[in-house]
Amino acid sequence: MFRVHAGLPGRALPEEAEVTEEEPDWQTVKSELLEGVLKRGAMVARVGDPDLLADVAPGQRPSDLLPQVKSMIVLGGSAPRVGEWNSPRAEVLETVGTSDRMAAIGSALARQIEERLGYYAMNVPTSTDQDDKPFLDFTAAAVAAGAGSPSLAGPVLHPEHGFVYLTVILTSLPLPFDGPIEQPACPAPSCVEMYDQRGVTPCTDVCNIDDGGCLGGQIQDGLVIGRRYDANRCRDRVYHYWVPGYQAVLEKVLSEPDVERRKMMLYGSYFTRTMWSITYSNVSQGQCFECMRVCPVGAENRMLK
Amino acid sequence: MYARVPGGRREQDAEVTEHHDRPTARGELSGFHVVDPDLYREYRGRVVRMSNSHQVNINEFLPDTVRQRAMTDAEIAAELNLDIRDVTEIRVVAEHDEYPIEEYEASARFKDAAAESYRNGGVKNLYKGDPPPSRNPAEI
Repeated sequence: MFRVHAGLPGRALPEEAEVTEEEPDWQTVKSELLEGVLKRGAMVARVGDPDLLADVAPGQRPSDLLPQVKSMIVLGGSAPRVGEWNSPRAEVLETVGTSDRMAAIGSALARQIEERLGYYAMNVPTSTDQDDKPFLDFTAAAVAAGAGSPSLAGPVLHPEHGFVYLTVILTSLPLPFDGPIEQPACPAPSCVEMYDQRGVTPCTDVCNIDDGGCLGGQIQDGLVIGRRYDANRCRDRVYHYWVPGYQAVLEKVLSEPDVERRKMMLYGSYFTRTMWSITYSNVSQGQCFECMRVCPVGAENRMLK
Repeated sequence: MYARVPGGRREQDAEVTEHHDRPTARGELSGFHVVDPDLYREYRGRVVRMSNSHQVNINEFLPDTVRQRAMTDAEIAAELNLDIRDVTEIRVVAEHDEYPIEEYEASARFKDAAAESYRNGGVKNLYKGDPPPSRNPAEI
């Protein structure tokens, strides 16, 4: 196992600890860390340059969370199983949000970096910040590290695995960067072909922003341009049986003067399932996959016998 | 007598004047700040248009001439000469308020129809348009 200089100020080393002053082989450090998380279940593990996120909204940059940040490790994986993708019941995919599994691997890696290497590490919280926004621009972090590329549908797509859940570990370890991937996963060749023929891609066909859905955009010279996205409608579909739905019902209930109608609302199927989802926490957050169900990126992995 | 003992409860109506810039003070200042409904009605549309709700070319790493990053609450507050706490509240309420409660049932019907259409014919057979009026095929 490599040993590097302790990076946490004020943290005493064991007396017998041997501290070497020579520069560690950071590529070896990186390889050992990433091999470890791949063994623990991550499907994608890449390192990005946090300075590439200088252009994202203030407050959602790596240095806003960890001032000492020198690199960011982006992990992806834990997508729904093939059987879940192929279920005829939309409700199956609705209930298989498994981002918490990636967060657990990220937390273990952050702990490993701090306790064994002595450098700061933070697994960025995947919950919402106080202003109902994410703590970090996860899309930008994933793209900067090459964990995938932005998509017309929205989620970052890995060229081989397609949709994956992400977690980001910010660290003061000066790991070598992988950098963005050269060939974007979106649009896929079959989407370019479909767009040339019909003016839509699978995702913009099933959830078209001009036809009651969330997504729009064009493809020109093989690139997505003019992407449009109705975030509020998408949220209502993704968090259908979750906090936004709970708030909407609560507003309705509080303004309902009839006691018996209030009872029907509170004990009814919609509010009941919403409460189940909320109390199962984020294992029930993956509630709309329809743009991803039809996406060809990684689709070959979603076919078994 | 201290207006506020660190870690203790603040006396009712005590003025919060110290350490406003501390991150820990932010929640205390805006944790249950309720926006005035008249202010909400007046600025709702503008705040939503300037924020992340309706995105056009917001993606990072697009050329500067193309990218239209959404404004932060602080930037919107400066542009509209509003208190940032009001902007945050107007934005968060409006995000939840944009579609009526019926949208949630429509979401269920959309997902049923979308999954079914893909299962029956792949990308050449995708469901299009508004959700069907019922989850029961016999009623459509």
